[in-house]
Amino acid sequence: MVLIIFLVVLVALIAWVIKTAGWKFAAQRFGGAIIVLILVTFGTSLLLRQVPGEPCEIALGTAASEEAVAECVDEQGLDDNVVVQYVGWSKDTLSGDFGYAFYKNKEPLIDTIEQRMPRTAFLFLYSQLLALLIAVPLGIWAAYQAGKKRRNIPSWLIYPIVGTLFVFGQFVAGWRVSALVAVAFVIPLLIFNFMRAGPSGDTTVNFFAFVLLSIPVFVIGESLRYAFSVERDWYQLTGYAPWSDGVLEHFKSIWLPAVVLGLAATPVYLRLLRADILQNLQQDYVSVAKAKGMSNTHILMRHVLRPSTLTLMTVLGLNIAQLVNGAVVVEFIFDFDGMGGYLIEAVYRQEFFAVQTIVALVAALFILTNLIIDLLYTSVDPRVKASTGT
Amino acid sequence: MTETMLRVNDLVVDFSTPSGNLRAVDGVSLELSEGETFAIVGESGSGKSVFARTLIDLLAGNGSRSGSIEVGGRNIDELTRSERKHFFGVEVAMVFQDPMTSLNPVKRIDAQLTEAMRYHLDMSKSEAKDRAIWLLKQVHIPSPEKRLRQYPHELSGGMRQRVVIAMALACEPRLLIADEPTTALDVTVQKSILDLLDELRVDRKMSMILITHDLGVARGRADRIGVMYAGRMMEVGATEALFSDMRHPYTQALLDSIPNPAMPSHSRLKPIPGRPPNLLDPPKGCAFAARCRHARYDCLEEAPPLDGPDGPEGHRWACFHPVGTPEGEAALAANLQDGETATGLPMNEVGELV
Repeated sequence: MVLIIFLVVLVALIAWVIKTAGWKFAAQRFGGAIIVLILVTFGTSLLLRQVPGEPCEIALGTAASEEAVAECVDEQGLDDNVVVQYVGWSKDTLSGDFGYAFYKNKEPLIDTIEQRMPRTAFLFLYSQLLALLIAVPLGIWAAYQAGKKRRNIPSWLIYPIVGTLFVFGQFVAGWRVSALVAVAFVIPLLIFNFMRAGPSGDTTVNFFAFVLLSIPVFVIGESLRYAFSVERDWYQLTGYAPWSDGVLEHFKSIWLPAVVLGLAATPVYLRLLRADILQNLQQDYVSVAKAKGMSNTHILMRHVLRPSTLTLMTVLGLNIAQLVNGAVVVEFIFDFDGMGGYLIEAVYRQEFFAVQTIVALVAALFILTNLIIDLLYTSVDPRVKASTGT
Repeated sequence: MTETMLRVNDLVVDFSTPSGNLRAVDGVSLELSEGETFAIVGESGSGKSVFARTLIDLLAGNGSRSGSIEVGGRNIDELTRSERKHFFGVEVAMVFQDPMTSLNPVKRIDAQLTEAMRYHLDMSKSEAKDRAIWLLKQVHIPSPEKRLRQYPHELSGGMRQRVVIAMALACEPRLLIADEPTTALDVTVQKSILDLLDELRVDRKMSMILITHDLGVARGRADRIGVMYAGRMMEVGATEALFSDMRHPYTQALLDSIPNPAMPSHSRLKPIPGRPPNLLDPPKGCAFAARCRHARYDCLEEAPPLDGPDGPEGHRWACFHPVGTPEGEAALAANLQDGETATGLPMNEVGELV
């Protein structure tokens, strides 16, 4: 199923790239992608073999007889030359045969991928959507406030912010700790308030961004997990529920790790967007638009926002690596059986072929996403098209 | 008597910077009647661009203004919120220096040209588009329908400046401020852009403030000229009077520093010695005294007022020892005798600064 979807998407994408950017560009990019894929997978297989240990011995356990291990090694071709093994793996993989994991009763790898890939993809999707939903409006607002003459936000705004923190803090840590945290937030804000300028919206947003950026993911994750799945029944710890189980069940089983991952990405996106907007607000065309009498909101949303998303888009594309890397910690905290966890397990068990296959899949996804982002640049900034000949 | 289009009274613009208060414009007053072109001439840092931007309410965040500005008889500080919304960009419009950067690179020409009309004049999309095509024809852009669909980087510099001018004219302003509109362009394109501005100004009975550092441009295009230095108006007068009868040593020095094609080749240019004063710490007296060959000791005590025999309407200058007057000749003779000016600038036998 997943494989078919993947192939359909791939073909559609190739067609789109050829249509928008021409044969030459498509050939260049897809040719490059194939070389990268070969290097990445072959490199992975070489690196993994540096680690001591025999996959068959690990899989069969210490109790296994020597004959059984020898049979396993022979069956997998593990005593062959590395290159021969790699060529064999490539042939199998390209023909759609992903093999099976040695342990877990020779469970076919394709089943694992079909089971785990969707939940990881959804986790990534929801977390990025949430991060963008928070970061984009706040980033715009912060940049807008920074560019304004009047530097104060009304000080009463502090109370709803701290109040919200306090209320949510109660769920997580009980009212004592929550009150402590609230006080910890109030003190710097009060200090800001006594300063000549007072906290501007920009200062406040940056303050919270840095706080969020500085707290490790597993601290937020662990405390939220305790608050929402142990203390109360808001998050389903028992396992992932697909869409077919119902919308509510689905979200109940995935929302918390998505929130944690999203919160980790939010301050980064926010700061990037804010910095780009501030930079673009310095451009001459902003003065021209002001001289035309256009409102600040119009200038921000219609003139400055679009060219300010370039860095954000780039980082968003790079973040797709999180699909397996960054999500591991969160998957571990929430017992969320995703691709990241499986990959780590496979590495520990020296499952060369499974690791290679997953790495190839992720690398392909990574390359494709960034190809799409590259093409999106041209629609954000028409000059890119003119300068790279794409 | 034609109607007064712009009346600026004792305009002062200050910027608060980390190293102190910077007075960029210092007590400039100006009156401009309908259909008139007023050129403001000055070197870089003389405050002419800040003056222009202040007129259209484009002061940077750290700037503050005092003194009144009236456009078409309306004081811009007394506008109501709703009047203000449709004032700048409608009554007053501005053309900027560098057409390469004054258009948004990621928006098509049509979006940039029509947005002001749709916002201020409440036009529908198609009305605004028709008018945009008409405007592009007005500024002599061939095949305007095609240009509308293009991005700025697909147009040449001169073409872009025409678009910027069309943009400024979109809402039929009565006062156009052109801040060095040709500085960034080729000489051949400069003339056509200035001709275009003239033509449009006459057609629409528009008043225009032309900011330039080029006395030649000012002479050919303006009814009146104001010479600005260190934030102050040094000399103001009708173009002909100013050139035939220039009074301020700065104006004279400015003119002398321009290469003159009538002079024999290889004759030396006469640059103005020294640099403009530091506006963070302005001199007590005349701002030009440190570079002036007429400078006497009274110039260091007090800044001379901008005045002339014909009152505020006529030729005025801010100098105690003006060129071509007995006072000026006396000052020059006294400096010649001393071998240096009151600020210590050495002079040679023929009265030139060395």
